Amino acid sequence: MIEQLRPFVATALRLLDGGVLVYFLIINAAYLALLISATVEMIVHKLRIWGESRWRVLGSAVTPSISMLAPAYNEEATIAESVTALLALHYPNLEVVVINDGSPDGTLGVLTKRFGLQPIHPIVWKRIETKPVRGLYRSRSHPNLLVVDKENGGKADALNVGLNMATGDLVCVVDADTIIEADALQRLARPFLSDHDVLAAGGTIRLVNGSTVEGGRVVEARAPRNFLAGVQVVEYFRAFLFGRLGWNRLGGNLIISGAFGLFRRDEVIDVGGYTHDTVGEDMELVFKLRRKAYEQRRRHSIAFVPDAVAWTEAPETARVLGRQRDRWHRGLFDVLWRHRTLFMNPRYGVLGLFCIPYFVFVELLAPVVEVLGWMALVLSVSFGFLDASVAGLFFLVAYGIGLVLGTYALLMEEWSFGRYHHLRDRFVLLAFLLVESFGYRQLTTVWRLRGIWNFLRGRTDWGKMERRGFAKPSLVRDSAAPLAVDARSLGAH
Amino acid sequence: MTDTLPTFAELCRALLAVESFIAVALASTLAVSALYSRSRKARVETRLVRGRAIMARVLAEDARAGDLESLTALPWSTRIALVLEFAPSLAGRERERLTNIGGTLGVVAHAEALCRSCVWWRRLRGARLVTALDDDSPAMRDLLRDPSSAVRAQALVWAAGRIDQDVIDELVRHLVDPERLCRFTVQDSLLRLGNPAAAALARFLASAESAGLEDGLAVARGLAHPELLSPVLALASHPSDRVRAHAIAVLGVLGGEIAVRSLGEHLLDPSPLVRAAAARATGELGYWQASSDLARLLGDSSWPVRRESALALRRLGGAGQLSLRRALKDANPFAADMARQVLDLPDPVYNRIAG
Repeated sequence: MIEQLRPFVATALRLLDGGVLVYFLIINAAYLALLISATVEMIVHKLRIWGESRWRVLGSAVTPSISMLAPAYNEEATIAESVTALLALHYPNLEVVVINDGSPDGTLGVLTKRFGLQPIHPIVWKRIETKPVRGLYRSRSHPNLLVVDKENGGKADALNVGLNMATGDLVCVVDADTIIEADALQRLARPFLSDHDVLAAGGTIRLVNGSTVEGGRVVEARAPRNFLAGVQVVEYFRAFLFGRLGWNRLGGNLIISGAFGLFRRDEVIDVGGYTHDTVGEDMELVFKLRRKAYEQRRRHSIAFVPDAVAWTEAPETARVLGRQRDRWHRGLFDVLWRHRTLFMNPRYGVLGLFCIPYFVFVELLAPVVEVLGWMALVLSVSFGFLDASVAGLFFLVAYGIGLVLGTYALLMEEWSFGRYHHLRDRFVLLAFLLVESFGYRQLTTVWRLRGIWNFLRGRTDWGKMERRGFAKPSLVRDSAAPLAVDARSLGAH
Repeated sequence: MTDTLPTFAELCRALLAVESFIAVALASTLAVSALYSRSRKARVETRLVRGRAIMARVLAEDARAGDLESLTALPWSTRIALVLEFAPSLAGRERERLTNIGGTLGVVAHAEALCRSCVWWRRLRGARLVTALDDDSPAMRDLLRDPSSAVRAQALVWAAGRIDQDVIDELVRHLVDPERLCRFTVQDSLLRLGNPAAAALARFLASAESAGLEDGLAVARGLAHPELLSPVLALASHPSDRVRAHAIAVLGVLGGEIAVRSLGEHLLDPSPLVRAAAARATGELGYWQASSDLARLLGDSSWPVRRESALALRRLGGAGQLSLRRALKDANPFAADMARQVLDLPDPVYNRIAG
């Protein structure tokens, strides 16, 4: 019986092997294109910012005003420190809008006490439908701080309330627990000053784990000791310094991290703000913005600014990290499914013909192909269709490509920003890069597969995220969500 | 796949060899770079600390013998770093001294040479250095028409410090620059120049057709110079509602009988954008005689117009407050609601007034 089936199995495995090989080649060609693009972009960026004086932007009467939108839910432990840090950012015409999303804890009380909030009655044009607002408060000590107390409706609803209340030309969306570098807003606003077609701009998200935080600022960047946090630092480098920077030049940026992004307020309101019933609302918003611009046949762009930096905390336990990756992948699937009509649609230019296919094949389907690839490899070796040594060689080639890309990302960080001053940290990160393919990558594949499965089952919850907090233990909802952070994806396997 | 095994295996081996080489090379570069940057950083920091101390003494006219020689002996990169570091925090005589020190250290000559380079980023560096030193270099005038927008924008920043009619005329011409960066920079530079830019701006506003008008009017609003009244009045009748709205905003800061009359006419403009701008400007001018016209706008079909007219009424003092209280009983629910919001009345008081 087995002998009779052998030719069919052989054909099937050959097809599968061939498919995986073609996928492997295509994906690595895409990475090569991104790598070249990211390198060119970084060089041009560094040349452009040499000797730049941002104090002009600080003192200019024509600098666009910015409203920072910070949704908060059950953050009484850290909210005062977070808002103080936001108010201390170096930018003129800055308004901070904190949206208390119906927190049952003492978030509003802490804010009232710390900033001397008093009720106000501004005239607000409710251009986006949201859950009812219970109260509006302005700080006596900081007149540019507005606090909105509303019924619980989730992050998207809170941000939509913020959009209704904001008065700035631009809105900066941040998580209340994100640490934004003092001059990051000036840097992030740069594309809006230089190009009228920029709809949104995103900055670099770095992981604060292991670093020293004082007074709401990262005073010393250090590599984390925790294994999971360490491999995530390497992942984030790859995703931001290589993936997003690469897409910048190719015009295909689709992701602005929910932890730190700047948008034209009118554009966001025109597309109806954030979508409620998705866990990938950050990506969904960028999709909507780009889609509308294409439909109106407008020139537009989504910029990534590598030197505008915000710090966030990465999960340090497999359980929490698994939930996060599951949610990111569900969000990715959901957004791609909502906008499926754009797939390979020439009406949507680069977005329809290149970006979305890339996100479908390289990001979304990566864990599926990875598992299929492993199965094909194991079966081919078991049935004797493939020599074990060749299979091993292929694995090493795939591992090697991942290693080259990762090391290149570390080198780019070293040459461009060099935030890690200790020699030891560079070697620690290199060590994390060397070992991440053994166990960690397979785990992320499982989590992402779980995300696909959960999406197909219709699961739409966020899941509770536990974090240690920068200063003291805290429980906050995770929303950094740099979707598809693992830009390297399957290729290496 | 079995029959292709040798080729595939060979290919894998070759690829692996290449990858190993690249990975080792990159890792070694990373290690060497990290080591080098650490030692370099320590060296540079030492030089910078010494340089800062000397520079501070020289700028305070408290130089010791050999200070200038010590500065000249520093490497180029350190001299440039010092100039760039000190420049933003200096003004007046100390800035002039910095320019002179820059000349003595050869930084000005170096920057001018960079400005004449055929490579855009070298020209940009040159332009940034000359701007930092605030030097009246002739090379910068050529850069005002540079093909690179980054270089052009930097030259426009430099131009903000030059009260020279040719330079100002060139600045105003850049209000129609195709690049947003240059248009932003020129707006900022004209505002920094202040009154000397008013005449050139008035000529631009009187002659331009539509490109650059909005940016020009934004500058005019910041300058608020009487010389701008005539062209701005003409632009208040421009076919584009955005231009009209900007012109109305300028009239709001210029004031005067003619401006007020024009604002009154524009309260009836067909465009809600212009009506809202006219309402806001009337409120800013405190022209209480327009309170009945503004009260009529409380029932406008556009929310921004209702909001601006209500806020304008609140600014008008007694007359405006009276109109707002009357509007609480208006048959138009939108007018009554807006008046209530602006008056910010607690529910019992509102119920008593509104009956």
